Amino acid sequence: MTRVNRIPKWVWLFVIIFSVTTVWVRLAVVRLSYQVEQTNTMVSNARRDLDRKTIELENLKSLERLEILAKKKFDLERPTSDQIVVIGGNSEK
Amino acid sequence: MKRKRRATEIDLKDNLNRFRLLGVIFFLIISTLIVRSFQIQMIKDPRLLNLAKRQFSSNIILRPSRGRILDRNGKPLAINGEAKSLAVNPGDISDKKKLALTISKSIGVSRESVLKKLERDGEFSWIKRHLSPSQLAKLKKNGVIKRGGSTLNGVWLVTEPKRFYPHGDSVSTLLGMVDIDSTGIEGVEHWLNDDLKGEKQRVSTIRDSLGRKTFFDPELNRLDKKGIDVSLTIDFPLQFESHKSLERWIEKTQSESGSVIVLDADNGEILVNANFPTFDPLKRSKSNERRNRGIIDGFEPGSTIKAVLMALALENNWSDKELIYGEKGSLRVGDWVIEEAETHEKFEWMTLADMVEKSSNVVAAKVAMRLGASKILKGLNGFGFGKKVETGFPGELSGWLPEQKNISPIKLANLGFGQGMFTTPLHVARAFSAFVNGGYLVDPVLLIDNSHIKSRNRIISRETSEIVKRALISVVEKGTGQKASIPGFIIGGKTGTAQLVDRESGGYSKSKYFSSFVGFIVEAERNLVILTALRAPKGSYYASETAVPLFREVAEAAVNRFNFLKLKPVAITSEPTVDKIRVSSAAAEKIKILDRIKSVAGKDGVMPDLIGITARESLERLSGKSFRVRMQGFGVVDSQDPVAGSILRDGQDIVLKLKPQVNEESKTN
Repeated sequence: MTRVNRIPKWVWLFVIIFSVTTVWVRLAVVRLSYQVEQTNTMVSNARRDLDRKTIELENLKSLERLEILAKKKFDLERPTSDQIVVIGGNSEK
Repeated sequence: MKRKRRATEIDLKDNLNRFRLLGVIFFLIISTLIVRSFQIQMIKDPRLLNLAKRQFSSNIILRPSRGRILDRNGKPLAINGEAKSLAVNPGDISDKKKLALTISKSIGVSRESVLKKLERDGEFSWIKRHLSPSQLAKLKKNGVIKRGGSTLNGVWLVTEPKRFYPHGDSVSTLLGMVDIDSTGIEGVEHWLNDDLKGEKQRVSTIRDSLGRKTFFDPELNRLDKKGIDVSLTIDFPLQFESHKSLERWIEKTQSESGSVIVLDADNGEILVNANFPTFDPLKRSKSNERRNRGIIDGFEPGSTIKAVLMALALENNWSDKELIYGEKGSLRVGDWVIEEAETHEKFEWMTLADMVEKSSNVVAAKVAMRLGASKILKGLNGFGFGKKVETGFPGELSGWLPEQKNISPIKLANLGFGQGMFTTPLHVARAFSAFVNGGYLVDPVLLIDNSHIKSRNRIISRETSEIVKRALISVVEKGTGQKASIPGFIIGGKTGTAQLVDRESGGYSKSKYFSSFVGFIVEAERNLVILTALRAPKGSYYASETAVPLFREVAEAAVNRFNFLKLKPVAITSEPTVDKIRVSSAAAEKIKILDRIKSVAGKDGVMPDLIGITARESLERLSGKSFRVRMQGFGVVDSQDPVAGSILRDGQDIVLKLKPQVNEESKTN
């Protein structure tokens, strides 16, 4: 009496490979998602830093502050019109 | 033996039956499980889906960052940052009285107020939003915030977005402010709130057992609808200089308030919108300090309107040579007597140009009455008075003109010198742009928007525009605006000193005036109209002593900012020390021009042939001696007086008539 193998071997092979691939892909997606999430956090932290630095920079560059510094620290005064020599064309036109 | 064998066979048969039974039972159980698994895994069950969603997914609110507000050069005027806020879960706090005392000491809020918040029902209560760095430091020092950033049990330190204005009060009346939740409540912040705020998005995401997002949804990035950056037409360096000048003159004249507007007469872009009083958007302020007076506050324009009146008369076929009697400085209209204001002179015969130059109220009243209410109102309306400028700025004032049926002779006479009508500084600056750009009314704009087609309507002829411009130049050369002059430049403009309404009596005040000056720099690289206004200056209140010097400061700032080349010959007192500094090509070019001016100064005074060359080149050739050069029109020289080859004397008048260069080019083409 010979045993009839109703399911061919390649089907078993396919099922095994399919299962392993599915699980592997799923894990890869999860791992990548964590990485993406970490990168997103880094990006938002960097953006936050950029905002902070921009505020700091704008405060340092503020004309009001520069004028106060010029007056108090360097004892400068506002120039009269004939004392101003424009160096470099800054005209928009 | 046989019996034993039979018994064993029966046992085996029984066991086989039992195995079969067990097999069937196992098969049924496994089949049930498989069917059930199939049902759960493959067939959608809303109840199960909900259960799964509740377990794995959670909603995230994406809060977009607010758009920045930039000036025309991309300089940030309003930007975003973060602030820490203190909140509590009252239920988690054991010793509320002790914590209230500690927090109260740290943030400078009364203990009772903090305790009240700690004793509230519910799981969340704000204690103080947007803590200052010093308050944060004190909270750390007093142990509310521990090392490493953790907090006491039941206390939260929440990070919130916060708006920052790096330039303080210098542009705040235009920018406005946001509330604690970053919603615009004043100025541009309020006006463009919908664009700036972006769109808050609620999205769901899958989380793992630790609450981390495990599934990255690319849609999240697409959904993050950030606020749009907004670019204003403001030129911040000029705005800052104008603001500083305004502050100085407010202080000097002890004025109640003031405004400066710089308008590009060609495209309507508002380059400066400075006001005083002003406010720091990050501090508490009074509503009075937050007013954008240049756009939303009205005043009676006074004598500045005489330039418009002159244009209306010329447009109604009056000759600029026609003489009008000045009634020796006093005109009776019904029961009222109109007198000259600033000069108190007893004028006799004068032209329309004299009326503007000498700012005669009597002649202006007579011109208005002769033109009639219908033409005056139609004309003023054409210049944009009595209706909104339509910048879009919230609270913009439309101004007011009287109705024709209500105009009595005295009201009509008053309109001639700018009383009995109501307008904003921006209206006046806009009206004057027609005398600078050849007769067009521009639409003032505050936003740089390339898609916006800037419309210009012709309201007066080019000829009228030129005649009025000349009259306005003579105001600065010989009239009430002399303090506006800047060496090397031709300036035109008109003063206005209008009485303010006395709130108590309801009539005109005898001590409070609105002083204004609106002017322009002739033939500059950029056609700018500059308006300066001071409300109720003390001491010498005349515009010639208050608004005019302020104009000069702002105009000088504009000259330096935009690198305008000098038009008129200037006396050179010393050699430029160019060898000691590095200069750019643009500066070197300027110095070359100065050198040429100086070299011509030593030559004999022979009138050169200037026909066909530009105004600037003509001036270069004429520079060196104190000739008085008068120019009419714009473009290239069409005719000259004296003719080429004539001997020139110091102080001699030279008249150059110009015509548009475009026509000349088209002829040659």
